[in-house]
Formats: sequence, structure tokens, C-alpha cells
Amino acid sequence: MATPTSGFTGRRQNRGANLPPGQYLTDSFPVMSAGPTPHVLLRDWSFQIAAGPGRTHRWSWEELQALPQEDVTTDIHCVTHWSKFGTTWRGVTLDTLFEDVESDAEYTMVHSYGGYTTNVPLDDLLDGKAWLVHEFDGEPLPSAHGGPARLLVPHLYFWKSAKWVSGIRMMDQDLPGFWETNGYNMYGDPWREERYW
Amino acid sequence: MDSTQEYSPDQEHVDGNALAGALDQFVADLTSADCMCAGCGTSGPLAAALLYRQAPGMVLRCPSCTAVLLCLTDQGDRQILTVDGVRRLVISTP
Repeated sequence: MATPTSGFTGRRQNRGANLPPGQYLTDSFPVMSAGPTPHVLLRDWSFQIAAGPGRTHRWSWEELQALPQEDVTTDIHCVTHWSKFGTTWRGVTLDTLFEDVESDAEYTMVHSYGGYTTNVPLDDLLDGKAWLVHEFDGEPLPSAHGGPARLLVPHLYFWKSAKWVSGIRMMDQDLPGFWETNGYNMYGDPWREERYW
Repeated sequence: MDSTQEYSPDQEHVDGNALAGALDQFVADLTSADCMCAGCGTSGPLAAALLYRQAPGMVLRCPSCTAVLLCLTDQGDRQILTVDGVRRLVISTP
């Protein structure tokens, strides 16, 4: 009787329970981009949360750096089918940024330098589920991967983790961002394979 | 029509089926069409615009202001085209 082998190994190997359906594992970090890379000088950079008229919270780069920082190790899953395990990031949890934000709105629109948008329910940004990150793999986040800072929401497909993030606007209803308008799912849970409408 | 006015059926229109033949020439190959950007008003052939395709869909941008002209998403059994950034397309016919 033949002994079962471990089968083919390599780029499309499946590491079982940690790989969502329809995904393959990669060791590289593909650069996905739907437009030119914005180059924002740190002295011009800011991040804001707009909770309503007269209720905008804004942080400069220096103010962001002065907030408590967290190191995050997480798997990421791109809707174009690649997943990458054990990525390491450093940044500020969204819980810290939303600490003084008062709003009854349950939805958010994430905005980026360059005009990109993506919608994320507020609950998915809180309770340790999302970060504003500015380091990858121990180095400043390269602009190709969203530097100076990007959103990290690793439990959703990675198009929700907006590169070059500039702010978050609170919304009373769930409206589609860029890819959501162009056929992609409003929520984007990789474990339920919510790729499209 | 003013949104406060009530719509009433008229005799001036037919349904959209009648457009089918007239639109055929736009379907053949749009890359030679002259495209006006809705953002900055610049015109030029679609073939000269900037195509980004390392993304979940193909995104075509204006070479003048980089605004999104159109986006084409391939979902296998469904193709989705949005053209928010196109104000006008001109096809030259023989």
C-alpha cells in the first residue's frame, strides 16, 4: 500500500485552518494599486475623524506618534485570492483615536490621500479590531504599501485596510466606497468569502 | 423635469430597445474613442489614458488630472463597468 505523501508544496500550499476559502498563501507582499501613489510629507500629513458639524478630531504626525503604540502580528487576506500569514505592524489602535469621539452613527467611510474610499461599520473598527499603522516589519511603512500610514482591519478583506489613509467620516447609513461601488461586497468577510455583491 | 412635477406617460419616447443598433459601434473597440474627463474636461483617446490593473479591477485614469474615468471589474460570470468620470465619448465613423 502506498504511503500518502504531503503532496505538492509551494505557492499555493494550504496551511489549513488559517486560510480562508478560495485563498492561496504567499510569502511575498504584492503591491496592489488602483492609482498613482500619493507622496505626503510628514509635516503636511494629518488624520481626522469627522463625527459631524463642528465635531472633527484631528491629529498631526507628531500627535499620532505621541499616542500609545501597539505591535500587531496578524494574517492578511486580499480579495484577489492571496493571503499572507504573520505580518507585523506598529501603530495606534482605533479605540484610542475614537476615545473622545461622540457619535450615534454606526457606519464609517474611510478616506485616503489620492481619493480612495472604503466603507466599514464602526463596530469593526473598535474593540481591538483595527489600527492606524505606520510601520511594517520593523521599518517605516513604504509608500507602495500605504505609507506614511494605512488602516489595518485584518479580519476583513484587505481592500478595507485603506492605504494612505487621511480620515474617517461617520455615517448614519452604510454607503459604498470605491470598490464597493464597483462590484465588491459592502462588508467583505474573508471567512464567508464575501467578495462581491 | 422638475422633481415636484408629476410624471405622466407621453408619446414622445420609445423604450430603450430602440437604442441597440445605434450603440453597436460603441461596443466594438472603445479604446480609439475620444474621451472627455468629467473632472477636468481634458479630451483624448481612451488608449492614451492611464490603466492601473494591479488591483481588484481595472481602473482607467485621466492622464491630465488622474481622476478615475472608468472601472471594469471581472467577476467571472459578471462584468461591471462604471463610467462616473466620463463626460463624453466620441467615435469617428467612416
